[in-house]
Amino acid sequence: MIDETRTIDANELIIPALAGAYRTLGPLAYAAIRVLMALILFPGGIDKLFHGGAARIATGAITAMGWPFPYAWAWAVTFIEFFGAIMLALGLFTRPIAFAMTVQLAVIAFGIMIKRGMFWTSGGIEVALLLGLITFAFVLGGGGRYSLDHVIGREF
Amino acid sequence: MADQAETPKIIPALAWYRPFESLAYAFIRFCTGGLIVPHGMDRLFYSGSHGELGGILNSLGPSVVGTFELVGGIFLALGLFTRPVALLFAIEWGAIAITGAMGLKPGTSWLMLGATPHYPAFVAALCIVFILRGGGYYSLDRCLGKEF
Repeated sequence: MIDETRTIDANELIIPALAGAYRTLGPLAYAAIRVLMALILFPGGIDKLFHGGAARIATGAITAMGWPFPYAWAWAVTFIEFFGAIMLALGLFTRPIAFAMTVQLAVIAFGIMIKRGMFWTSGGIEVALLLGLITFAFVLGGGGRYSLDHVIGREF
Repeated sequence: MADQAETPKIIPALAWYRPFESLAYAFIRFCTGGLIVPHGMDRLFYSGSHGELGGILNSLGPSVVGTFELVGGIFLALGLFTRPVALLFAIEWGAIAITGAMGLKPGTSWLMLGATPHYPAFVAALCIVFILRGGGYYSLDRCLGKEF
């Protein structure tokens, strides 16, 4: 599991008075990153599902990459970014969803954003790269202690 | 081992990731720090752009900010002085996000494929989480036996 239940020892802290706050909030860190990750993908899902974004990427980026069945891929991306983001936030089927996101973000990073350079200031690869690496961390770690996977008691 | 309380797997035979499960938090910290380092290298060695830094950070000079990003990024990746470094990065990247947001034209999308400040805002938020959790089990802070 993901380092969430390790107790924080006040004797190891340079400012021991902070131990209480760290004990309360520290275990939530992994779940907080999961929710943050979902929050950053979710607006893309809303755009694709409700504002024509799916058709836009089907005729735009996906067609430009030369992939067959661009609308099928566009709706797969829409599913991942909308329903997948909700599931990731809740920690439900975390690993399969995180794996799908990792593949999607790897394609975005190395198929689209790499042409724009390294840095976010030019819409470069680091954006999708960091997000993809974090979703890969969830493939490794799963939902963690504060997830529906853990409540259900079984996970992939 | 960081924590042995493992959730049972639906398909145990496919759980190749089991030995790496406890590394997830450290991996996130490592990647975040590791991707801040190129910003520092760019500012220090390649005269990279620093327009995104905004007034206060720009007044420090790109070499100061670049050195901090280079050294601090390595520290964050290794989990050394995690909380103070994460605090400074949260301030820096939060300031970059606010500067970027103020410069956006109305109606500009914050979606991923644009060069919008959602990325620095995300990095700042991650750093706030690192402040809460610290370096974690796989960090130099734990090896030192003392942390902020």
